[in-house]
Amino acid sequence: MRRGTTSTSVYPSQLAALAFIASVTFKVLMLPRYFAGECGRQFWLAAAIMITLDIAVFAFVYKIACAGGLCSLDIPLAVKNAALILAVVGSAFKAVLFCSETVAYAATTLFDEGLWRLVLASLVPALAYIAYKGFNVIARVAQVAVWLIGAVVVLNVLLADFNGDPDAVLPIMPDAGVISACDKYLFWFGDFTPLMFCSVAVDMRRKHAPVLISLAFIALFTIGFTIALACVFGGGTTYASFAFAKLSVFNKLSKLLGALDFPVVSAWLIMATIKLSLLLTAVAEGTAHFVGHRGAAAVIAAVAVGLVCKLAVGNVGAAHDFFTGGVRYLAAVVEYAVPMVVYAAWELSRRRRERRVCA
Amino acid sequence: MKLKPSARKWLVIPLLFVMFALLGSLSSGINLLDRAIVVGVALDGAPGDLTLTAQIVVPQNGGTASGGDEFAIFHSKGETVAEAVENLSLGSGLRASFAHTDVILFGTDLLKAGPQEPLEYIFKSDLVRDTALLVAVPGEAGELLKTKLTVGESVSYHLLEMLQSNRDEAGQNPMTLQRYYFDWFTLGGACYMPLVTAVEEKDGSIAPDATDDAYRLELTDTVVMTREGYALRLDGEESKGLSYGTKRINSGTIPYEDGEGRRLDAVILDSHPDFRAVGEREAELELTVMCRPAEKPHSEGGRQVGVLDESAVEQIAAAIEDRVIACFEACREKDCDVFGLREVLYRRYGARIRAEGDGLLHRLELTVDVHVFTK
Repeated sequence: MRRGTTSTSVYPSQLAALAFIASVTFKVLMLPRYFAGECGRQFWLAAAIMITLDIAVFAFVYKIACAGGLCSLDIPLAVKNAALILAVVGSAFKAVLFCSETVAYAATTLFDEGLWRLVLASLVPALAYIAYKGFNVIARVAQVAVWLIGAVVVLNVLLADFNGDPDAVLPIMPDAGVISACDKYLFWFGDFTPLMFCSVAVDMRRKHAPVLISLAFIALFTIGFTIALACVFGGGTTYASFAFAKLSVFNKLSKLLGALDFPVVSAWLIMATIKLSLLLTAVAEGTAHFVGHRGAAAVIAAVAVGLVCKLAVGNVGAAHDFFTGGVRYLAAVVEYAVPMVVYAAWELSRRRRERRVCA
Repeated sequence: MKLKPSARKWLVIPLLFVMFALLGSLSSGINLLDRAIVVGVALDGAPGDLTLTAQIVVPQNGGTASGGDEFAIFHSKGETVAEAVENLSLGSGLRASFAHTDVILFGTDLLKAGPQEPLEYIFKSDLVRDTALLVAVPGEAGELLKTKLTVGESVSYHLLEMLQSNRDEAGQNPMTLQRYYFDWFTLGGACYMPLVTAVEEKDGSIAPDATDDAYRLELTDTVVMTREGYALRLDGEESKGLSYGTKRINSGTIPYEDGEGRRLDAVILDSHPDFRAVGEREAELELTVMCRPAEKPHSEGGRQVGVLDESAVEQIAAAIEDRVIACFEACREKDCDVFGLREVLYRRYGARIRAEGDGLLHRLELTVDVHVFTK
């Protein structure tokens, strides 16, 4: 990589780290509370269904990344442009949603009377800078951060001190509430679309093990976390905002050290920064494909997301209402339909090329 | 003007300084000396007219008011908990900080009028940690918080010690904020909290500086509530029955009579309750209890003492069964599913149980099967 330029090239291990962080980060904050409000204690089942769907769609995203990334795919121009526009819009919307959640968490729990506008003002430059640096840098940061995250998770599992009821997940009955929750909170799932912009390093395209391990961890962690939450809070999860912070209190160390488990908070903040940067980088890459100036696009995207959060969204309640409205079907299209359509178009183009070569 | 890549790199440093300055300004700038660290809270009154009493440590001067030499008591009023908390800071001139609040006391007036609104606020707002213990007080909870104790400690800390050190004993039924909400959202929706009473103890003072009007705290009874509010008060024996049915016990004793009519004690080493649905209207509590005689085995006049024989085991099993049934019957009379039996049936039989409604509890049969093992 030349100095001063950015690259979308990542190693499979980096892609695996990015996939884990992209998928897990905002599923352990507000989502369990929303889910529980919609389908009671069965919310873990809704999470399990959606995460299975996500993992299935990741297969297409991974294929696209192995083929060189969305921007360099040899597919019909109309399909590529439509996919890029949808990915940019979808990622920008998600960035607004998750930025508002991050700001709400930081402003209400980390600071005494924290002013959320200042949290936002501090977050936006950091996100703009990381997004400006591009996928390669985010991937390297994720690769480092994933060890810290792993250590924190292991520590919390080993020191867990729950007064939970394991039978609280029973009876396992996927009812209408579960389906309704899956439908209503589509915007909180998917999460792999930005990875379509990455390109897996050419000489590493046959190394699938890190990605498979990452997918296993995504499923294990998300489902395990929601089950633990259901066992500890039951239906009360509907009042448990900032779920990961609520759950991390129940460990042996917290009894000695106080209410907040700082390693968990630090790890989550790193994850949130990476996730938001990833979304903004996707917006920048997609925009740059049409208008050039990737760096400027990244900075403008970060500032725009910050301004929308401040001026239009205001609080997480407003974000929740907007993103669970009709706009949620945009997420279904962007996160699930776009990767499949792009992959299908690439596969068709590839076969057509092969036929042409043979002829 | 186009900057060189190396110059751009240097620009990051001032950018970081700006970010740190912004983050620094997030702090409200209140130093420790201007804070009131609340260690215990008492809530009285009724929803819409709440009285909040806080036992606080004032770092500025160590505190001087009643409730212990290092602690001060402040009151505030408000229509909601949030308003009362705000008024507490305004009234005391110190910023109230609840991060170290371990005990929340509720006056029975508030429990009868409906504690749900304040509790919901406390849980949703993250005002205190979820491990905070909830305690009921007959009469005014704020008055109890001011009580001078024989042990010379503050009520909040002493209560916390009592609840923590005896939590594995029968009769003590500690309830955390998290567990309260877990139970509240179960199908039966019954919750409970220990009831603390202040008992005057003029002659039994144990602290050197205890005054004549010093009190000690007692935690023998339990208050049971439904989603609607206060339902009933369980006495000491019924509270023990509740303990046997809801938690593992690995401390405390249970009396029995030996062949010669002498009253002896068995020490409970471990107990494990397991509720099971036997039929759609029948539940079973299988309770496994491990105990040993309080006295060490020895021989007295050629007779072996300190051994739990078959008769002792039967007495222990019967005593435990009686307590559990007494608790169940007392609660059933008030429509309180304190053992969560509807939930047990629901987990086994699903939606049919939900459809049965509240009347199910009265049609339900509970069998208690106590297995006592000796060591």
